[in-house]
Amino acid sequence: MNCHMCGRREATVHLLELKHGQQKSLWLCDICAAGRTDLAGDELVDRVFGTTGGEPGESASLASFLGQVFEADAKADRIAACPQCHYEFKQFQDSNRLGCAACYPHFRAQVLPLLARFHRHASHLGKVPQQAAGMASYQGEITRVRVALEKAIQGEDYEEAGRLRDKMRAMVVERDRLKDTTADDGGLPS
Amino acid sequence: MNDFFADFADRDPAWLDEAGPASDIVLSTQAGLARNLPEFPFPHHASAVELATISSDLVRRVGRLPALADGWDLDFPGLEPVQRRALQEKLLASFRLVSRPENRGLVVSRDLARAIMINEEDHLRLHAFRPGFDPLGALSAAMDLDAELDHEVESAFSPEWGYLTASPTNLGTGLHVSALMHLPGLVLVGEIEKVLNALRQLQFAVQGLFGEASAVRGALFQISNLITLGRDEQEIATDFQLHVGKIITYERSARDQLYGRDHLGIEDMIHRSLAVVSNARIITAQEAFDCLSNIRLGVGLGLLPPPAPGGLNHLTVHQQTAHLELAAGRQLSGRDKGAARAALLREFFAA
Repeated sequence: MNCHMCGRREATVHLLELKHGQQKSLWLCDICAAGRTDLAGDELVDRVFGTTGGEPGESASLASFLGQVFEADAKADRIAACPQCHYEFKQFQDSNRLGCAACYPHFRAQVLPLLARFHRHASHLGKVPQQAAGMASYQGEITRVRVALEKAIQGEDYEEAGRLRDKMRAMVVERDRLKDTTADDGGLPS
Repeated sequence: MNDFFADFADRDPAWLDEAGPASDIVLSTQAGLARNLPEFPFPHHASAVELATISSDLVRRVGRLPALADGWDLDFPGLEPVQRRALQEKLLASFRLVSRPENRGLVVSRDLARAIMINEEDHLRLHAFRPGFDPLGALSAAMDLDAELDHEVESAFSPEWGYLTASPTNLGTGLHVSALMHLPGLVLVGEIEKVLNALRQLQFAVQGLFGEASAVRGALFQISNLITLGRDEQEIATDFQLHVGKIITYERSARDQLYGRDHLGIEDMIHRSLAVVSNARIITAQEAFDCLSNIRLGVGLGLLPPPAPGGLNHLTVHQQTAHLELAAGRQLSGRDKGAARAALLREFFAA
């Protein structure tokens, strides 16, 4: 299962809460879960479900839930400044701008919710400059599969959706393996 | 550069003089691309020294692009304030660039249909203009410019997130397609808010003539896409063509409806405006925008003979303060400005 927060990485942490006789569950990947250490599990689940009443995976409730989580980051003093330009998270919150290209991988956990809310997508489709063509074309393929998957779900073609989901999972694993072997620097051109 | 301003009055962007698709309603379409250098802070976070380094380096490299090689490097900080404001009135420079010119740059192509701003919100902002409603043509011109840039500049790019921009709202393609639309029919029938709200629902931004929260004047609206991530450039432009293109149809039917409902009132309004610009001795900018809007509507409805091609576009730009002051060769007081504006309009319409 993919992480309910970033929607991309494999979920490894399961948060459960029983409330009003209903069981709510939230699956997060390591990275998103680590970014949420300021909240206890049940508190987070409460934020997610208490405010929206929706189910995880629904895009509308997901966007709204991410908005809530982003607000929770107001207590942001613990987030370190960007190692390249020393931009602080507080400055990002105040200006809605980042300090440099390296801020993107550095503030990844904080940027992702904003992207989901604003663009309704969290990964790039489109032109790739020649210098970055290798890895990016692979990412582009993953994104294409993701778009097809969304369409299949919308069209209630669950058989096709299952096939695409498995394909995307395999591609994500392969991409992460490639990244690890090429000394990942957060996706920036070296 | 001196050449550029020596005959500035005659030097209008090509898109201003030409007729493009649906040019009775859409003045121009532009495609803009945001690009950054990976090794420097974004302009808002860069020091003056860093900005100076970026600017001098990029002006030199951008000047080498074949599309701009015979154009102008306008030495933006070295220009007179009135010259910078005039470039904004021609839509070649943004308000942000004009209000803080130190260490910023502007390089424009000879036909003024392409421009690159340096150290605006991003290190590089590429723009390509087309006359009328032509999102795909504007995109194609901007992408050609970007392809040339690829040989000179390595842009900050992440395989996952695309082109990295100062604001995450421009992330991905960094592409904004926008159209400058004249929508008096929808304003007068009271449908404009409904239409603009529908556009906002579809994730388009609606602004005034100069973008970024500028006031709406003379029923001129700047409409642009908001979503830049997760869709490729072609899809963004095609989507823009589809949704914003519908506004053209709505505007035409609003005009018909308006004229059918009260043709005498509309004719009166249009001819009054014509009388003002043909005879008045002092005209404010707001009044000129409104009169030109009504006259443009009159031409669109076939109630007035069409002026020379591009004539109304030319006047819309040239009746603004910086253009009037450049033409006069001096700073103008409020009353002198109104008189200069009235003289410009009278000369055109009384002829």
